[in-house]
Amino acid sequence: MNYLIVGGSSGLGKCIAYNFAEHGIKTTLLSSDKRDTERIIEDIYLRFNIKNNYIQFDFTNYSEDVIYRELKKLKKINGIIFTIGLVSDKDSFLVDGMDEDLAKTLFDVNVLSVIRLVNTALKFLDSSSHIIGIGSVAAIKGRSKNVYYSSAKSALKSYFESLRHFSDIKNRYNVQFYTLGYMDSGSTYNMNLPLPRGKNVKLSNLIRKNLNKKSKNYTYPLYWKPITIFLKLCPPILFKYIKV
Amino acid sequence: MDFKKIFFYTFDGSYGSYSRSTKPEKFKDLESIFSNNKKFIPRGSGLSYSALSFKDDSLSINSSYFNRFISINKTHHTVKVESGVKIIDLINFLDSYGYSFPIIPGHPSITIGACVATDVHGKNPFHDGTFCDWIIDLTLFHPNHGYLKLSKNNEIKDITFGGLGLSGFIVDVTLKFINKKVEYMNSSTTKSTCINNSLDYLNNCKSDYVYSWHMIDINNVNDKGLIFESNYIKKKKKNFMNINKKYFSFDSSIRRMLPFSLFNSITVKIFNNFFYHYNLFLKKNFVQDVHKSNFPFGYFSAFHFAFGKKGFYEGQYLLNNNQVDPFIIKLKKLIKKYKLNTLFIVLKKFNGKGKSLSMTGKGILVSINFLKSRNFDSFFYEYEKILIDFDAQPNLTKDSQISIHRAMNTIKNYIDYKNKLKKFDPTLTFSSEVSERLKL
Repeated sequence: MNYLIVGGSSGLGKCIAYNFAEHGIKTTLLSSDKRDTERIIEDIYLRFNIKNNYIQFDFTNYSEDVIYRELKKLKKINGIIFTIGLVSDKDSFLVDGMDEDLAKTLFDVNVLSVIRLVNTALKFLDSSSHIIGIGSVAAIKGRSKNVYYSSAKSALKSYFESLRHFSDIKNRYNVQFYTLGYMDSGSTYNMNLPLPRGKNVKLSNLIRKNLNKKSKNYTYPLYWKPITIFLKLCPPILFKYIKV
Repeated sequence: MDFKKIFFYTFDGSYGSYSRSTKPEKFKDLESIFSNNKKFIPRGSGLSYSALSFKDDSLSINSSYFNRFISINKTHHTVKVESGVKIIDLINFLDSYGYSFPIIPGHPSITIGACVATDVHGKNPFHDGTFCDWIIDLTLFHPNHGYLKLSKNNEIKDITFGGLGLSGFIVDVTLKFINKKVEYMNSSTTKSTCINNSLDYLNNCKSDYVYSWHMIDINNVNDKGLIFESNYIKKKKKNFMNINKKYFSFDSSIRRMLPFSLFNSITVKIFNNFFYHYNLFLKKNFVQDVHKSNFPFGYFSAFHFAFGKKGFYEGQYLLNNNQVDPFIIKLKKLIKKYKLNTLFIVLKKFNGKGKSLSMTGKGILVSINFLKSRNFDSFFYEYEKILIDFDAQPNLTKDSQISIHRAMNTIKNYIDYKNKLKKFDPTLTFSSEVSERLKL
């Protein structure tokens, strides 16, 4: 088995690579950070005797030819897991407007690159393959912070809904989508968050165990499910007072 | 990026301050930290007794994501690991290949970076030397110098090996290991009537691990104690004590959760007498898992927890062989004067070759554990004078309250280290509470 992890040099992607290797599942890590990814691959080999592949690829400079060529080198892909995500400190509404270039970068990386890669990768996937997307609770309701990021994640969620609909009609692919709440990672380290964080290790386990399941949507950590419903129903007059 | 402040404590509970902290996950994260900040200090698991990894205006760089094994060379017996790898993970990793590493500090969660920065010693430093003796090369990151490869003959290594992390962020280390699989230890306990008796024993003993433990009896000339020695064995014997390999590792904030100390003048005596008799009669000769021998505090975490919020002071000093007994006589007089409570003294033979701030030379390592009481500060003032008189080299990892006066007088390479650091980094980019107090 070989799963393609898009964004495998850190956070959830890295954690999935370790978790899968621990259970004998090979992965191909696709990321732009050569130094980190090469070390991860070597570390996984030394710890679990699994030799993973690496595709160096920069999503801010997408090239379909490069991706096609690299995917062709891999004999078989059992699925793709999109853990890629980009946030920015500057992604907030300002009185004098927001940076449009930032919008392009965040949409490019968070949603357009996923769409492009799925389009290319479909040629290499068979009907039982998994396509797994990672969303965010930021997409539940737009806020004045993480504006472009939540818009992009919202678009990603919609895209995965369409993909799932297609897979249900054609009975091809297993499309799974995970909506994530606060997660324990380098970027949230030391951040004052109002709710506990989910663990990448536990989520990796969940993703691996769900590989034998069909198309489905998941929320992690699970306690975000009722919060999601509440936030969706929450009127704007009340929402402006909620600190999330 | 805005880094939130969190409250860090030293493991002994003597000092705490709000400090900013970050945890880079990738190389580019590490490199970007330095663009918006001025002062930094690397941080491992935060287990140092003194404030080596934080300061109120320094950004602590947590190394825990840099925890990858990079390569193993079975021909030359070397392993390359990143600085955030914990010593227990290194031991288990080498064990899976049938190898072992001789320098193992007391706590399993200590990171390799911290082992280098403090030049830790293991269970038999006289025989095995210290951690830095086993380094082949090292990669250091400094914002003004970039990535530097330090080999044995590099001058910057003198301020990095045992340099308290003041020369930069250690990225990875290549270590020598030994071609021997070690799983069990044959351990024995012998009665010791006094300090001199133990010193004679330590000087003649050839065991793999050996140290002595003594109760301090201020009303008696002789301090009775025990000599613990262990030797590696390959196969388990009949009387093997099967232990759970899992251990409970807590950081300094959990250690001080108990609002009061369980130790006082009465419970110290009970604890010491129980420990003495239990080991002397029930653990005279036994075989145990090497992990339990290596990491006594990993399996006996309750000991440090029992000191509570008030904490403790543990001094560890390198003394000349012939000065140990007179030092303890003087110390006992001072303890009596201030009615202080000490838990015990541990003696170990030592041989260090460090050229920075770590202990260097041959002698006896003397570790003393004090309870904090109202008289402690007055006692400590006089105690420091004795330490200077006896030229007692401090272990800065443990000596959380050392004054600059004592540091200048007892650290062998203090001036040399300071000059080399200033030459390498005139702006002193890396700074901790200890480095600031000791004007390094």
